[in-house]
Amino acid sequence: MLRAMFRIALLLAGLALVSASCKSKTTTNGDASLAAAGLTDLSSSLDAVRVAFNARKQEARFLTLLAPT
Amino acid sequence: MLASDELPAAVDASNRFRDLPIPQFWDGAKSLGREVARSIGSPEWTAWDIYLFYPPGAEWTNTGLPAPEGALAQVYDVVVGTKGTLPALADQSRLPEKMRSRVDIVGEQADLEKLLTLVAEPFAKKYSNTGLPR
Repeated sequence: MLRAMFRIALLLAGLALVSASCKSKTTTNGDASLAAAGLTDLSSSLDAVRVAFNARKQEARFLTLLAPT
Repeated sequence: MLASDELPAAVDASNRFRDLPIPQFWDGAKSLGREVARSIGSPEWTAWDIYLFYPPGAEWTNTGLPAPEGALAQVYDVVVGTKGTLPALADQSRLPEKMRSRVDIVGEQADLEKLLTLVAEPFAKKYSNTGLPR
């Protein structure tokens, strides 16, 4: 799946892309890992992804929501 | 989602896209999954392993994320597409009756990369970098 996504990401380079991962249960001390990975946590609000989605409103966009395994 | 869908796996996955200018998020509360499901007319579902294509002008307003121009998702051990995304397979018997008005089975999970390409290539060509249809 990730290989496919990487290919599609390259194919769509130049268009706006947004990706998100989901999980099955709560984790601890995730904040540091999230920050280090450049992942924005949506657990308290969807505002961040909404802002990213609308930031390039005049362009075509691709959004994917993936289980990371 | 699987029990192994934990943060370390997401961090590892996100690292593969580190060099690409892609905003990445962690949907631990599954809020985005529910919003995506609502946006495609399946509010009873929590979406994941889903790929959505939006045209220029699509805006996430106070009423929520807009419906995509096209979408593929991995469900029921197959790949389904929202209506019109890709041609439907002749055999739709693996799709629950309640889903048939919303999506079609468009291929097998093993063909996901090919199916994504079939949607992404014309989508990218249609809008190019200008955001306007060619």
